[in-house]
Amino acid sequence: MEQREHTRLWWNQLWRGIVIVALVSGGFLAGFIARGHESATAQESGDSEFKILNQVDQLVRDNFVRELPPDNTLEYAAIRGYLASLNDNYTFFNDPPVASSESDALAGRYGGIGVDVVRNEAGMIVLYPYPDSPAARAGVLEGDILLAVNDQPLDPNERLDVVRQMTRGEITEEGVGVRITVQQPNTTETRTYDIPFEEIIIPSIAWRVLAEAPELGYIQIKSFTSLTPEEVENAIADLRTKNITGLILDLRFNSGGLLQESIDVAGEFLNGGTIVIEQSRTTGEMVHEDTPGGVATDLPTIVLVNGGTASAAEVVAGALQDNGRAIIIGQRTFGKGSVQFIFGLEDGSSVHITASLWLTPSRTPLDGVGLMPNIEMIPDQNGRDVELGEAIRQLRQMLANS
Amino acid sequence: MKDESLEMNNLEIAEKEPARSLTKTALPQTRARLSSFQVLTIMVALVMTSTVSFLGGVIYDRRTGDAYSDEFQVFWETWNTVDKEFYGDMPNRQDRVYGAIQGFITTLNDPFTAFVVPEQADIHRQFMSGKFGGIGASVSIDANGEPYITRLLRGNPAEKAGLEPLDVIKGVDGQSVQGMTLDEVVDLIKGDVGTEVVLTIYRPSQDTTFDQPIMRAVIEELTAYSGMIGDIGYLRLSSFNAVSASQTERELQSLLDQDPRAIVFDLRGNGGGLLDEAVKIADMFLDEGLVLTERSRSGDEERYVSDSGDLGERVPVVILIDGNSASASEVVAGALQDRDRAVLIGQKSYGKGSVQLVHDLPGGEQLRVTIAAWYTPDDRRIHGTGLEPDVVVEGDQFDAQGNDLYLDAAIDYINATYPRDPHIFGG
Repeated sequence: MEQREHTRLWWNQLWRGIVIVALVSGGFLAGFIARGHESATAQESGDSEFKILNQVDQLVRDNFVRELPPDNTLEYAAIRGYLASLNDNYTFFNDPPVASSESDALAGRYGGIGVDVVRNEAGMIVLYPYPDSPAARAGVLEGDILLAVNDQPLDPNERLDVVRQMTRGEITEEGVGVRITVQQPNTTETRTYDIPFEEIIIPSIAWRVLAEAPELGYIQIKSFTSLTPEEVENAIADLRTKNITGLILDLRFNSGGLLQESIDVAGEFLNGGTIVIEQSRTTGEMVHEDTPGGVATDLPTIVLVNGGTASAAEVVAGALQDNGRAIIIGQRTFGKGSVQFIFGLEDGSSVHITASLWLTPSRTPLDGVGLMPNIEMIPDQNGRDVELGEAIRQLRQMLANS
Repeated sequence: MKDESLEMNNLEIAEKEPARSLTKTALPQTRARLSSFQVLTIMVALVMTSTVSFLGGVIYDRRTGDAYSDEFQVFWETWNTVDKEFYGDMPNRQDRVYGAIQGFITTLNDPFTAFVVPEQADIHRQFMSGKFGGIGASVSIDANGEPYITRLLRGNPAEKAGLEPLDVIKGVDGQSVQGMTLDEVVDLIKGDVGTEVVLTIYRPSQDTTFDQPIMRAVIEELTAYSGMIGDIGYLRLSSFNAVSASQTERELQSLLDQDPRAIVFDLRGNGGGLLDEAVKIADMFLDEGLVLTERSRSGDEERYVSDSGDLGERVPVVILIDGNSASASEVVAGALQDRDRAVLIGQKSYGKGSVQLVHDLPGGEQLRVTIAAWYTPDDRRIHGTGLEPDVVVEGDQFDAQGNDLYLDAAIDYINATYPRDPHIFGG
């Protein structure tokens, strides 16, 4: 049970004793929930089935006709093969660059130069600096082709996760960062910048007063990161200064994120009551109860959901629906009722393990079923936001009747 | 596992005698010589047979757990974490370990390197031995879908028990075979040597049905057979297993006894087998010289040579090949072609130029590792390209009348190149 030290700043913060739910890996399908990191014992011995793996490894190393892939490739493949035998789509392995990107995303912030790293149509790796980021301030331009990192030429076929991690790192007193060499397309001039790492925040929410209904506030939560509860609190405080009388909470296409943070967000709207029930193979049933109080307990609220609302987002929607705190409008949700723990591993990789199931307060089975909206809507063919329109009408009716 | 098994059914393997693999393994030599073979693996339908144990009981040194701690730390961390945390039903440990090994093997990106689960490994071992427990009868399916005896191997249990060709098999050990495929019936008839199988036989000539107990014995699979086409000898080899060289020698001798003008050596559809058998068979036709060269990752070279004084060194030979002639077949055909001992007739061969070493693992599994590339005597690497025939036959092997066009081409070639002996011709 010893805590393992990791070099990465946010990684450490993320794994220390946090419970996480449902995330976004490979699109909206995967939600996960991670719990604090426990180091596993390095190995077991004495079981004959384990010998065979080592034996196969040795025989292949000694005999195989061609050059072998790097060591960790073989080991990672063994891990993936092993996890595949469990037949659970949500239990999977991430190698270090992916694990780091994921932990950055879950933390909602990381040390870096603040650029989007994408591959353009010509197959080149190009940068898009965030406004006012260290990269932008240094002079990196939108669409700059990344040629070299720390004077090492960059292979254009390098995985984006790997390149992304090159632009990130621990923030230090000395202002250590990264040296990048870039070039604008269709020019020959190359520019080299030394850019320090700074804290980059990834906002998980967006909010505004609705132009079409100035008495109503609108908060969209895109995912649940470690910053989300604070962001929601700030948003509500800001909206209250604008005298809103009701709130629309948009969880459409929110595929989840951290469990505890979703519980915290639900708690802001609830004045006591059960938020979620977690069932674990090892520890039995755990009921997460809300502590009375919260910044939005009094605001009439409607929740928007759709088929892309999954996992941690379903925790919030289910808790507000079951407690009679809010009606939900939209389409049936995804139905991801399992909780994954994410464990950071020795070398910076991580493993997601399906570790428990969760139920809404009314014990409605969720996995593979999803939440049924109180008002089910067919999405508009022309892309008009009919759900938002319906939510405004419903909220106005509620406010008029109260 | 299922997919893997199916794939394995399509592999035919040529192995090398265990003792030869000594230098190919890092394992202690005394064990390695018992437990590993070199194999050439090919894509050809494998005929499943037999229950005779070929190799067994080899146990490796158990390594201590410490051996893992450096190389597979992340793996074991994952393993133990899953053990503790996973919510769902866990497959048994063995299946999880097999899953890990399959994953590991996948990264090598080599279709011929494979981990074989015990059940399939047994089938493979038995197949390579060329021997199985059976009754020594060939069986086919008649127009009514009923299995019947087509041929009895002389001196074998079925013949001794008095079975006759055309006997219809109605049941095996009291179980009706109605609706079964030929393979299913044959699988029922095969079994451990020394055990009894009871066939329910219907004999049309006497219109009687009776039960016939037969004791199973070791049956040698027939891989080589021969016959004369006029004064031309025809020798066909279907695979290279442990009995192939001795059978080839026997058939070759019987052809030579009939003084053939030339021999057509038919390797069509022969997907390969044991490398050492291939070398022995090539040697029957070759005098002193190189048969093939094997090169490993480290650049180690092993040369396989033929010597003089074998029975087939003088008779003119043409070899028939097609796209399914692979691996060990290509070793033989490539050696005879490069050393100007035979012309190749037919179509381009499969093109498998790698050698696999097969390791028997303690639980009955097999690990097959591609360990080397092999080269013909002229140092050609045929992997992915195949052997080009000297005389190409276009189109199908058989015409509408069922004539074997490759064989016709071979006979035409022989007639043009090795004319009949004048006194026979004139007589």
